Amino acid sequence: MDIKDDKQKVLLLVEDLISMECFKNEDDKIIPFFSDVSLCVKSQEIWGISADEAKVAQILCEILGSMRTYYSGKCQITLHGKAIKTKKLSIENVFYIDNTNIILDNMNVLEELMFLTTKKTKNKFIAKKQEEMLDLLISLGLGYISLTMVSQLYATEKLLLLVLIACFSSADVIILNAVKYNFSQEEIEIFLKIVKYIKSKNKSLVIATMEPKLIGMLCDKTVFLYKGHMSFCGTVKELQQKADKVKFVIRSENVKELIEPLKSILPGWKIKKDNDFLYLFNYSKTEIQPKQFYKLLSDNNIFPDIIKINKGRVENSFTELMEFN
Amino acid sequence: MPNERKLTTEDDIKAMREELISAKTTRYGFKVNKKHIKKIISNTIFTLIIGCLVLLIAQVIMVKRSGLTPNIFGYYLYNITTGSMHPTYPVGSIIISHETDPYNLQVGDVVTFYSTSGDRITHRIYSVNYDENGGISYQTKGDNPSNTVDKELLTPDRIEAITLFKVPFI
Repeated sequence: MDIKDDKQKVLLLVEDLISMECFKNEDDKIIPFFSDVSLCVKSQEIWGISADEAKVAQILCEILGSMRTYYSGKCQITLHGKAIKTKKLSIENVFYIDNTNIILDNMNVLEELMFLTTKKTKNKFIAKKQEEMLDLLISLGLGYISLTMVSQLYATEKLLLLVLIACFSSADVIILNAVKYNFSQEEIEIFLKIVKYIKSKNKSLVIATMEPKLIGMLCDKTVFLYKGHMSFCGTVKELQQKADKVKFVIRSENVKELIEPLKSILPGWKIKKDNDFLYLFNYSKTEIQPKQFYKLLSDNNIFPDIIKINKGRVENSFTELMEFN
Repeated sequence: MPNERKLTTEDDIKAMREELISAKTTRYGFKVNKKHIKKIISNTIFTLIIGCLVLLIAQVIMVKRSGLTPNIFGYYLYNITTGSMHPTYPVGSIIISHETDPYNLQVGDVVTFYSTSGDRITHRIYSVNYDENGGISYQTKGDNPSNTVDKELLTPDRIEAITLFKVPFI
């Protein structure tokens, strides 16, 4: 992820936000969907919002997009360093996407992009503009659908198209409420290119998603809400380093037989089996370097097929956050 | 979602690029065909007509203020109100005249001029007279057989225009 400086403009400021919507917890207590949520979205930042419940992430996303009111706290969109107070201006400065209804089905992708992004101009400029748009689609990896009818696109492809359209709007903040959508690996790779394009245009993107992989690949910063509280808010790197306790992944045909010997040589560690894989969580206070770990295994005659060093995964981090909160 | 999802192929993109290149090479961003040429011509004519009308109106207003006869590029439009030029120009005819060199007129030319009393008259030059000092004056007469030669000699300074033709069917 990119390292940012302090010169970035603050575009969206959230402080101690409490949702209007409530639910009953196990103790029959009525508590808000979330409370005390604070975050600060700056220009060129990509934020991922996730939660234990999709509805929570969705509601937070809707509040950020000025689509829903909140009980208390602050949710300010700033323009030229000043907080926007009118609803009209807020809506103009935030491009909120939660469905694909605004896309017209009777055009192809290039036509749609031209229709929704290009101002009415003289005919002689249209061909040039259209060529630029075609080049852009190809450079972003969307060449394979550039001349395909929109009606033939998958919902996730339509979302990507909408995000691209949002890049041409006056809005500085793009909010994508994608909790109901699952992106394929290819689509995530395209999304990554679109994210770079968003950053080049000095805009920011906030994605609400239940896909940790999407956050891991696209986002600079993330917020994770668990049981109505902000269980993490910070950079994705920080999340992966701090919360993901999986240090090594072992693969072997007879993983079952390895569990006991590993437990004996790694006191304080947790071992989780998943098919042919063993996930080794370090809950002890001492850090073990990969070199030491290999030596420890070979000294104890443990020779798995594959040993993988885990550099941190958002998915593991979220699971950890839920387990230890 | 339809069963057959038609994705964009390299050939589709190539064809699109060719179309865009050909569109860019034309002046107006689209291929110029007969329809477009017709449109361009009709637009030009329309603009010219509107332009002339605007000029005419401006001219009329300006001339009306100065008390002169309205003209466009030196052309005048006169309405014949008497029968002095009958049958050449019957009453109600409209004639087109043009500014001319008043010192270089010939017998037979039809001219529009101001009489000494200030009336505007259109008559034919009957004879050209020269005085001792080389000054020129014209004797005029209406075409109507009942007319006699005008008593006043026409001096060049009172001549406004020479008649070119009568507007037909009016």
